[in-house]
Amino acid sequence: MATERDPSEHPKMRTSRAEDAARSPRLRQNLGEVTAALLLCYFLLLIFGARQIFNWSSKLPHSEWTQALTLITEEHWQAMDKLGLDEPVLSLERDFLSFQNTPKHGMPKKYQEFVAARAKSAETKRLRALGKAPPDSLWAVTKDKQREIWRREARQNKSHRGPRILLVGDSMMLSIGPVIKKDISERLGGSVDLRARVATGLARPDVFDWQREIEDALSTTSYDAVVMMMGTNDSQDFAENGQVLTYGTREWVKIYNARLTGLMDSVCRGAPRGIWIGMPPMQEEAFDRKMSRINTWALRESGNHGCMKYLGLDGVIGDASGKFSSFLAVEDDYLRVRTADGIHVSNHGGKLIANALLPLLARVHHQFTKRK
Amino acid sequence: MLFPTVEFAVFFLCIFLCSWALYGIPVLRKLVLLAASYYFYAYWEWRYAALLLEVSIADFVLGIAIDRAASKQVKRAWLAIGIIANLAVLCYFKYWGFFLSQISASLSALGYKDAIRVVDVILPVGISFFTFQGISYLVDIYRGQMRATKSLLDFLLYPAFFPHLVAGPIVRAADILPQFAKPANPMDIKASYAFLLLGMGVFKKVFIAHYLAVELVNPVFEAPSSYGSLDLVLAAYGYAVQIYCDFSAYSDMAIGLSALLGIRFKPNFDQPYRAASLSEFWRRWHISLSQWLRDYLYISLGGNRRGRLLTYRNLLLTMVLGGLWHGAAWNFVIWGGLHGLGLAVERLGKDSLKLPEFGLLGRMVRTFVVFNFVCLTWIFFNAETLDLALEYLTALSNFSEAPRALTPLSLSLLVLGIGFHFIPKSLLPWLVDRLLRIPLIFQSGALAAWILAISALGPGALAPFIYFRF
Repeated sequence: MATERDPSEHPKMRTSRAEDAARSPRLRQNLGEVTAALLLCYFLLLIFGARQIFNWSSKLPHSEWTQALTLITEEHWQAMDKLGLDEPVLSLERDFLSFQNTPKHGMPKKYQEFVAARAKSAETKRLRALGKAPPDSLWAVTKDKQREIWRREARQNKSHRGPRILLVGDSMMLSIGPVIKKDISERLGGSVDLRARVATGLARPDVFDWQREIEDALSTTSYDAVVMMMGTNDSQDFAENGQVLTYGTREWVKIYNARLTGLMDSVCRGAPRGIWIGMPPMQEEAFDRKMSRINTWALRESGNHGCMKYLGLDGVIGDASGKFSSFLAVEDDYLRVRTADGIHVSNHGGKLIANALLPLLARVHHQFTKRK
Repeated sequence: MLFPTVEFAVFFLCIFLCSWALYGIPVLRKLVLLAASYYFYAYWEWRYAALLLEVSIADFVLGIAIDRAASKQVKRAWLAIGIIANLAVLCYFKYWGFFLSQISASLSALGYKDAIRVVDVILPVGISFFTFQGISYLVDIYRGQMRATKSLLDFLLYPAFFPHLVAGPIVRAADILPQFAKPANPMDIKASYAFLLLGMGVFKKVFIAHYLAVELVNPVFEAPSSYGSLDLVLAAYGYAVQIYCDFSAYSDMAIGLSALLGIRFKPNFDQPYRAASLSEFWRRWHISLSQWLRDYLYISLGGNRRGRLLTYRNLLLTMVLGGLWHGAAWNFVIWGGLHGLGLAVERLGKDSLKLPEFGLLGRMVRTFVVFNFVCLTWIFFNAETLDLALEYLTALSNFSEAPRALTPLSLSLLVLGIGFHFIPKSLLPWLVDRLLRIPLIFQSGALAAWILAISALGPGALAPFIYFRF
């Protein structure tokens, strides 16, 4: 806080170096040269930044105009790409990405996967815009079709010998769900329904709305417990109210946590017990940090919901210090607990998770037996 | 519409071309700028554009009333109406919800639960800036430092001018109205200076502020008790760099954009973390706000003219109100209070102890102490709630937890952000001078390459500037 006592220190008496520099005659340009310079700047951005412009347009709120804009920017990007003008920015991005994801254990470079995923996503968007079915089997089953399949399975999967449990989640749950399902069915004698879908999570309810799916499942079937595991695909930007929110920013975290709250509210309304399985430690450091952040939010939200329990996996399929490990020594054996991608969990890992899950479901089983 | 985005780039190119095409017809040029500014503002929330218009018209009319009033008493009465009107708007939108929630909490404690309904008032973007600008305009006229403008168009453009509308700098009417009044000079555009500021601003916001926030600051501030003391200290330093890079980037870009449109703003930051005293920090940090607080609050309270005790009180009060200006929360009150207390203690030491300066070493020690004090106060500023701020402070003594929040990238950015502040005074002008010998067309090519490089390294989308919340 300046005071009026010392005039030499008065901010009005001082000027910054940049301001001094601005007074230099060399810095004064005429309108013609400034306009030419500015237009050149925009032109260069347009031809070398075609991919970024496409990325920007593809994140705009959905409407006929934005769809048309996305198609135009995509055509433009492809044209620039053919000329190789995309390469300088792309190679810089690649180097920065590998710097950020500096692997701990000689992890293979993820960049090729990243580029492939982007290209696939762009192709999917393009085909959808043209009204054609994307070739990828990932999208072969639509949301409605998938829901129908799940409902049919739930109707067929009737057992009165034990509690009824619903497993939901993304690809992580898809990989360990069958193991958990088998293990729990055998040990608790109940029936387990698995509703899992790849490339989903809480970040993009516009792609797949898990809260709606869980509400749908709980409205048609009476479950004794809901076990959830998701978050692998959630470290991404998303749009909310027409505004794109960047992953990890305060605004993003606020919305994401609200979705977590909404999901757990729905579970607690429809089932006596909910269990959230946290993300396991990941091989890539940057990704591991992101997942552990999601775990922190899920743990906190679980604490705020009376029906929820949180199961952390650091001590279940992590090494002695809770860090990532592909193999673990289990009962005189050395088992591979993670898949080669350093993200998903193997069958052995799934069994370890089922073991850890069982004590949390014991109470559910006890209540079921008492009811019977 | 954020500055470093595609939509803003398109918007700005249109405004640049249209406004300069009309430079020979100043009224039309200003109409274009005004329409563009209101479009820019309405892009967030169109309903509040009407609020901005109403406040601007009220200030314009009151300014004329103060200027034309025959006696000092009448002038004072009009000024009082003007200040109350501006503050009423500010208080309703910014503090009404907070005020009601405090009363509701007190009544709940007394057993009257849900006695009053707390309304959730949406804060119009930039309200703190345009109401403060309105007040400064009226006070300047009252003090005889300027005459009221007779041009409604010029005056409407003053708070609404889009480069500074939503997050400052808090521009004085005396600086900007004369620039609007005279025709723009197409032979005197400071484009190189603007390109330099735009380049710096994009880098600070998109790269440094973003990655520090996402990689280091946000995770630690969300759950401070799960981190050790080293992580917490580094996250506080990280936030100091993040908020500097975020806010000064906005100011840099605002100054650069307005320079391209032929309007000059004063700088808002001057390497604040190299300050060796708190009063020096406030002469370098958010200069337009600290000058505003000094000229319209501290001096109005009596400044340092009424003895030592009242000077300390005035410093404390000014900074508490300055803290409250940032938002209706106890965090900001404590943040401002700590700064006020710090300034009062510093003044007390200066007045009573007359300590020697101890040369360069003494300055280095003082800079270190001031920086750490400022970082300590940032904890209150950034924490979501007061409880989280206190949790953060408690966790600072958690030495058992191993550091895990810092990444090579965030460490590099931290060093870079603090390093910016200690560039020798002579180096930057020399560098700028060399850079500017390059023809403008190559400079624009370099700016395009710079923006492309940063967009490759930056996130897919941008978070709003921190000061949009205020």
